[in-house]
Amino acid sequence: MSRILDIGLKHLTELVSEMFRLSISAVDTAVSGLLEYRSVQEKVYDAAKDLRGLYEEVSDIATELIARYQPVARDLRYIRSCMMVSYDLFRVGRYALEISRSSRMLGSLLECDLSPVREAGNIVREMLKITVEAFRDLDVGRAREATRMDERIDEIYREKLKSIMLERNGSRECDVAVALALRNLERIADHATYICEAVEYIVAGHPRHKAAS
Amino acid sequence: MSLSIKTNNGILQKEAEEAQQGLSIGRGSHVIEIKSLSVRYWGKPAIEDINISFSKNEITAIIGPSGCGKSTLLRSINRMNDLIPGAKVSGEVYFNGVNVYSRDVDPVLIRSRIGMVFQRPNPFPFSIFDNVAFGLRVNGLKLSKEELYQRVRDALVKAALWDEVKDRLDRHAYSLSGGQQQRLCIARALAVDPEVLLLDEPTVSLDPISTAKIESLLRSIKNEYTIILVTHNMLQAARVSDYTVVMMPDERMVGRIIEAGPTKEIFTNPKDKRTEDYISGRIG
Repeated sequence: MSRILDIGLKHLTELVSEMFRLSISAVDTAVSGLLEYRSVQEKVYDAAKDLRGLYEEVSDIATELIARYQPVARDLRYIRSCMMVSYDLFRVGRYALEISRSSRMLGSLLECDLSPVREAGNIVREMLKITVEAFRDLDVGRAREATRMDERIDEIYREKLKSIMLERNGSRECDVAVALALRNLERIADHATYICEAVEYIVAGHPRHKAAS
Repeated sequence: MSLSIKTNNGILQKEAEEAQQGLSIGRGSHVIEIKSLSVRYWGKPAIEDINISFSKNEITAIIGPSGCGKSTLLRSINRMNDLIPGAKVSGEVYFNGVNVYSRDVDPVLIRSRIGMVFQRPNPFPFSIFDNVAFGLRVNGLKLSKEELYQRVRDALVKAALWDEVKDRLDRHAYSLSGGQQQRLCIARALAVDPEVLLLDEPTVSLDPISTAKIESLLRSIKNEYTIILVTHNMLQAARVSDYTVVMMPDERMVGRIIEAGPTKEIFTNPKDKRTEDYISGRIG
């Protein structure tokens, strides 16, 4: 016999799944737009706005489920994680929006070497896809796989900052545009990592901030 | 006040040392230690091989589905099972290091040190005052009228009932509401200054407001008493207790402890899947 709580949990899962879909789409669009010199800000803005709304909805439903059904154990951990993950995905949408804005703010990037953004963008998109699967299947192995990918993103970002400081070859606009894009991708990867930690928290009960250690 | 029981030999101390082994929960010293406890009713095992310790000044909740032996375990602690025909207890229950099932231990004395409150309020057909004074009188305490009044007053204050009854102590106990009657029963148990308080589903017949009052009362007196609470209400266990013991019947329908630990751990991250399924409402 299914429990009343299960109906609420299913609804939460659907909302978070929709948030995953929207955030991946927003990152895809933002990174492609930057690499292909297309303005995609409006499209990403719509996705970010929807993510904000869904984040509020997840919070409302999670709060209601806690208040009405007093979930415990894995149910409680799952609901708490949905709240946290929805915030992460809302932030992913915001960072995607920042990526889409940076190209418009800084003008033409035709002369810029965008290869670090291309590499980081590919890794982040792959990372998000694995994160979706990890969360959907509550698969700790996949979650750890995605978490490991974060290291390369950090590396690319650090290398770029270092090169900006040490070498003065590129234009200032290009340096700023690439650094900003990498910074935003690095933050997206961090949020993907938090989501992976949430998977460990749901499955094994390890607190999120300790899951990675 | 601690229990002082005269023994004829030194064996009890050795038994107490042996009882240190087994499942232990809580931070403080152990007031109750149970070792290899089994109870049978007319030959049929109800609980088997129970090993658990209860810490001083902590509230421990015992939870589990119907028929898992929660109440049987509780009644074993102060030998209430002695009063059930056909009940046979084996194993040891140590109270401050003394096995309460030793031949030279007086069960009446044990019950005065380990008080009990039952599912339904069961005040005596006396006045409010006499209900609380009952235990003091029965135990033969030589108290002046003022001392008796003070002890009754103290017990009613601790039971969070004083303000509601102070002007009508001579009224019949049955004139009180169900929730008030249950708090009166708690006051009656507290009046004889027990060290341990056993509660067997004390709020099962009460409304939510009365239930909340009893729960607040338990939290307010926990620094003075060791409290062991049997409850079917898992959220009550989650709200009130410091530690939780989970019992489950095995395939022979014999009750066993499957998990015990801090209440926060049991309700957020239980280790045993049966606990997870039970507290989440998937079984039971």
